[in-house]
Amino acid sequence: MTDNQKNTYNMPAVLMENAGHDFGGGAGIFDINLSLNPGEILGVIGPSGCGKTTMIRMINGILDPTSGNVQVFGKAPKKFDEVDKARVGYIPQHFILYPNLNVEENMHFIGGIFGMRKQERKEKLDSLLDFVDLSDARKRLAKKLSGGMQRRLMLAGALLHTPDILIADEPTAGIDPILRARIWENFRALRDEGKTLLVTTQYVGEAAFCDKVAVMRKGKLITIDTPRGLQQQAMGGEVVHIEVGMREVKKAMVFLTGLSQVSKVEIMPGKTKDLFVFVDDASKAIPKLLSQLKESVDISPTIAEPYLPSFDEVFVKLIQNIEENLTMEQIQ
Amino acid sequence: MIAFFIRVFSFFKKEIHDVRRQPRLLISLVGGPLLVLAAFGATFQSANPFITTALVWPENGIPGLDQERAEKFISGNFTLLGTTNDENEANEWLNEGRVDVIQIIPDISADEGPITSRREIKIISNTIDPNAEAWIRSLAYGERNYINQQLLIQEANQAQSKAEEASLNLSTAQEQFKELSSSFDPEEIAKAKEVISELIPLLEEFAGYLPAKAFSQANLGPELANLHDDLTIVLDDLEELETVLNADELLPKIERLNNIDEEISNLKVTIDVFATTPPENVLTPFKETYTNIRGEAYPLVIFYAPAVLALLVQQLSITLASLGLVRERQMGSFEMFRVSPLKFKQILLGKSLAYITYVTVAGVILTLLLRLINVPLPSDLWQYFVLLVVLATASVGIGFLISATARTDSQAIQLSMLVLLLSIFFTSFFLPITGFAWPAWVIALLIPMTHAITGFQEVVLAGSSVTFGVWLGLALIILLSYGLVLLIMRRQFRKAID
Repeated sequence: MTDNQKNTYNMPAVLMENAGHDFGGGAGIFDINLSLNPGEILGVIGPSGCGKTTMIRMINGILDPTSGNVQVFGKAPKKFDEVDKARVGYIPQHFILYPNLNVEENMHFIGGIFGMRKQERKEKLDSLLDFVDLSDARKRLAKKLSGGMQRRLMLAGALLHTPDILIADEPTAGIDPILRARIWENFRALRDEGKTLLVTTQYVGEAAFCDKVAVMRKGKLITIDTPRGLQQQAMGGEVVHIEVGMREVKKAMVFLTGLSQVSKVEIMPGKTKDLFVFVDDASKAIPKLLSQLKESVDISPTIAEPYLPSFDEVFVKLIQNIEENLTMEQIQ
Repeated sequence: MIAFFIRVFSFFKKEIHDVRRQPRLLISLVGGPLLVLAAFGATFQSANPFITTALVWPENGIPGLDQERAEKFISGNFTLLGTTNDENEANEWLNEGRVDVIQIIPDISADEGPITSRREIKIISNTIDPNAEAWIRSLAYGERNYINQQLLIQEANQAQSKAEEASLNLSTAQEQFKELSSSFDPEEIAKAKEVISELIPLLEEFAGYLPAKAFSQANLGPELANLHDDLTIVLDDLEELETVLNADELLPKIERLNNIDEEISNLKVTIDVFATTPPENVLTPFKETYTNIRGEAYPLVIFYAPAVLALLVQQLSITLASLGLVRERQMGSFEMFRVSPLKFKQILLGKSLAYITYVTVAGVILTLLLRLINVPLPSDLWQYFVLLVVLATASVGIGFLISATARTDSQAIQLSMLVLLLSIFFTSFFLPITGFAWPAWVIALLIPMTHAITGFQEVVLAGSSVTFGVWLGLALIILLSYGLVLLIMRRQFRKAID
């Protein structure tokens, strides 16, 4: 660990304070506030065109903020010297390695532009290719690799110079779910080694693999939280899924709504005898709810379990909430 | 510092791998020029325009020049497709496009005696090519001189045979006058009068065949310059002698006979010189001698070979380099480079070294192949090699400049083709730059090939050293092109994204 690394170990790996880059005409990103600690994975989720890549480019110093402040390891990326740049690994959105070079040659090229000596590159090459499962393809030309292999080659290339932070712009875009899962496996392994990762994705479900998730929409950061925190934010608390008999639905809804620990009861969308019961803590509430239903109204649910909404659902809910709030503000 | 060179070498190696893995690119960039060079050497025959012609020959011919000789002479410069006596027929051939030029020789058979007026040899063409027209006019001038000379030689021949006749008669007259000096009897006087009456018209006729006095004085040399004067003196004396022979006094006869003997002797000397001088010398006393201190000029194929080599090396370099940066930019690689500790000058240096290496290897192969068409080896191999490398460097610089300004690779290719066109027209490749106004000279100076052609011709053909101006010109192009590329690309590199 260098002195530089030691000095910055306790500060956020990435800090954005009211940061924005205005392209004009309403395009850009605005008022971004986030802090990413070393050894965490921050996933940035949002639809295409929401500003994820712009945010990445501000963090790696390609774009300067037109407002606010961006720091990586306590320093503005624009002021990075060679040592600072060597602490950052970057996977751009598109495959930018050389199709006429084989895997090994591409790796040597990337190592070379980071000033690594040949011996140093060789030492790291085997383990990295093993890590991304490309050892057997080391002599294969990059143009003959599948999309997933190309992504993994980019990942290996970005890690060759042993960066402290890996910034990956949509590394799983356009590849099949099995390969996506493998890439996320790699990311989590890196996180476990102490690396910091900032990963953007269009796949909302990938939020589950992150330590923190930032949700972006139309150039703005809607929220940043843990995956579980996001689920709670979206649903307004934790949810218990209860299934009762067809004739008991109405009675159960009336009873549960009257309980103090229950904030809301809804019929599960698309179902007729399944209820969503909104509580503060689902695991604690379930035994209590079951005994109260039995004792007070003589209902024995066939299912009673915590409900974990999909991140697609969470994302949609969050967006709906934001839009409802905006509409309310406009009415007021 | 080591990291600097590692980065440069990474680009060098990357480009070497990248190009070698594109066999079609190699074939088109290296194999293509080789084929062009081979085709050039194998098929080039002449830089002269190919012009077809028809000859209109007068039915009565030309004195001193037969049709066969005239046709042979014309065939040396034109492709003679036919000869006719009919001018209308030849005009038809011209109008139908069967021939490019018709040449009409006038009929001078009706002319009597020496030619005193100028007659027209008509050259009529239908060409649209200004070079061909200049060529035709130049050949027509040569042809006119040839025909004129043949006619004058004919005249000179006639004058010389008259001179021989006159000389013979002068000898007879001299002997007769000697007889008369010893005995002035009436019979001898009558004979002498008869000789005089025959000699005077003969000498007058001879005088008519002689070239004009001013012409002869200017061209026949000192021995013949007095021929006209001597002839006049003898003619005057003969008339006087005729007069005194009719008189009774003896003394004037003796005096006149003594004088005329000496004058006839003088005239015979000058006539003999005239009669024995070859007619070509009489008419065209000057002939040229040409000496090339190098021995002789090279055949056209060999002369053009260094220029072709310069063109191929330049275009190979420009094509490689013009795609070098634009492709990286289109791929989005600059984004990755910008995040790395890489500097743009390291990219430029690494790529330049790779391209220069490729082009130099190709240049060496081309040089060896030039030996197959007997292009001599350079007088100084080291200078030649350095010139090849410097030309490649300057051309790569121009290629990078194209790459820095082009937005897409097709734009880069278009701009490369533009440089090729400029190179063909403004570098003395085919048309000497001295024939253009000064703005073209500026363009020429900015094209590496202009300097390289001179340098290669010096070191390969002239066997001398490459002159300072060549090195200076190429060095300035390198400084200018690389300076501009750094200026343009540093901004683009800092921005990294479009």
